[in-house]
Amino acid sequence: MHIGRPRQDDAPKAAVPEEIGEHEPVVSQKRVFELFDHIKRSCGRAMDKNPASSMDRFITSLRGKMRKFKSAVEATFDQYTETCRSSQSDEEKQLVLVPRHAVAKKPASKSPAKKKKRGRMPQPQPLNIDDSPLNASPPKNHVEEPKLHDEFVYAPPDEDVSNVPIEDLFSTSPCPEVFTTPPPVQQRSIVVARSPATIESLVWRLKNLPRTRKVPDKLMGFQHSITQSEYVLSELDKEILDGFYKYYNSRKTELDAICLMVKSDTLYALLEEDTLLDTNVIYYYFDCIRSSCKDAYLADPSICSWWQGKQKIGDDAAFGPDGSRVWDAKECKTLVYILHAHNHFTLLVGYTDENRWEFYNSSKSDHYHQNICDGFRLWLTKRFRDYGWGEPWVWTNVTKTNIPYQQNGMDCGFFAIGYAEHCIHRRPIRFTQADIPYYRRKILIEIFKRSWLMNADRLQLPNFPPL
Amino acid sequence: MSGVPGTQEEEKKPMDQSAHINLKVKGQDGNEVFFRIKRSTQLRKLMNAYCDRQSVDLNAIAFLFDGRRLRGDQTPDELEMEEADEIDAMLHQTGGGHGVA
Repeated sequence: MHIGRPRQDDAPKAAVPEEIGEHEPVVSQKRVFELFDHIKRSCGRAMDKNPASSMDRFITSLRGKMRKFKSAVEATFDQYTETCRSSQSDEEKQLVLVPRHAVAKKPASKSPAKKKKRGRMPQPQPLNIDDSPLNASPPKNHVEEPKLHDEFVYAPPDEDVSNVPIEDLFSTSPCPEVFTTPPPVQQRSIVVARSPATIESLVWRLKNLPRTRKVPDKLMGFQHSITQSEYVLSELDKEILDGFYKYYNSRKTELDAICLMVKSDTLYALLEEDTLLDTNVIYYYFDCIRSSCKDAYLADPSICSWWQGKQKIGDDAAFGPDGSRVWDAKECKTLVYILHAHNHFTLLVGYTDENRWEFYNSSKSDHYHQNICDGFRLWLTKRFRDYGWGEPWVWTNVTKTNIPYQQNGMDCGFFAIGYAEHCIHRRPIRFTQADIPYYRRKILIEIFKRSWLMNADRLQLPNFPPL
Repeated sequence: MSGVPGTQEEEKKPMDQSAHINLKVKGQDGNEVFFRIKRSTQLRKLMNAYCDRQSVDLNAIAFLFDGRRLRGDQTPDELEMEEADEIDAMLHQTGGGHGVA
């Protein structure tokens, strides 16, 4: 199986000796881009945090990164010229030429938490999964086989970068015109590629969905008007599914490179009425909602069950490293937390503008999860307070009762995110159990759609309607 | 399953250390598995190796680093991972209802 890197890596290896023959240093273009990305990210992060406290750290870190960049380029060049003088074999030259991450030390910026972790070095022997894709070839040498797929000829910088004022480093990029190959295509898809046959049948099934909805008499009181148009496939949806299908079809050979984390099989299963929802699908559906609704803070649904006991993990997921997400949450209008206990999803929503917590439980007869919610809210607001945001601690707590309830033992997850979506848009909640099949399709379509949109620029489809 | 893999003794030379990084994957049950991975290698390789060891499906597990989900196409370099950093591997939760007939 091909894992790790995209396929095209293998091809250009043969071209390298020529480059060496021209006595030019070789630096991985990807590496340069990565270093600049690091610097950019550092800038962004430092700006987001409190500038007064983090400026020193930021500058230290930035210097470190510039040093790293410089040495990645220059050390390679020096080594190269040395190597040329001492007549070694071509193969050895090639090895020396590879820019090493090793040349520079790690930058100094670290969070306190990370420092703590650093102290403990792992005792057991680590698995080396690089040198042995499956079972093993022993390491031959401490010098690695160079990765040469996207290298370019790079002229070393003339001036010493470490003496340049920091401000100047932001604006200049070193000789972009010498790049000879484009940067590798970003991999963005969130749906795992499956065989086209699966996708074809999926598209077919979606297209042949019944177009009317039957509502049992006893639920008529909860019927609402927006469902019909929202949950039935539009022409655009069909076209998008078509595009998605064609996309996968045209990319069959590089499926491994475009894929990730939700299988279309999983989504496919959502169409079945008795499938349970899992936190992974919720996570990606939240991702879809998030892109359309910027002022909602949708917490990773995974924290729903981790906050108990697993303090560190729950903390990181809920508040981010150093509590950075608390401030994201504070600036949003709606906070959404999916809770999970005993195989049941419930929902806690916080309205920052109305100073209120609302708890939604789709199981009418259940009171156990009220306690779970109280515990979670206590934990959450306490930690918010520790991070300097005290108001949620004193918000009003409301348990919503005049809401649609689930009529079976399978759909609590859909109810929870259904409530969540209505809360985010501040709409009255009026869907019913009868809408859930449509809602399942909607979730599926949204995730596919998002995946398609993320890959749209790589797909050439004529006459595709503007979105 | 114990978190101590007994395979593939690697020499740790100073040159090697910078290109490679030791990462710890910690499961929900507290077990730890150590991996040695090249900084520029996509984490999918690590994820696959971990899932193979634990005999679970790749899609059944969420990998978290500093509270963020990892994608298989990311690399340690991209995430600015450091030596001995810890990745959390958490099973996805499913839910249906709570005793509703």
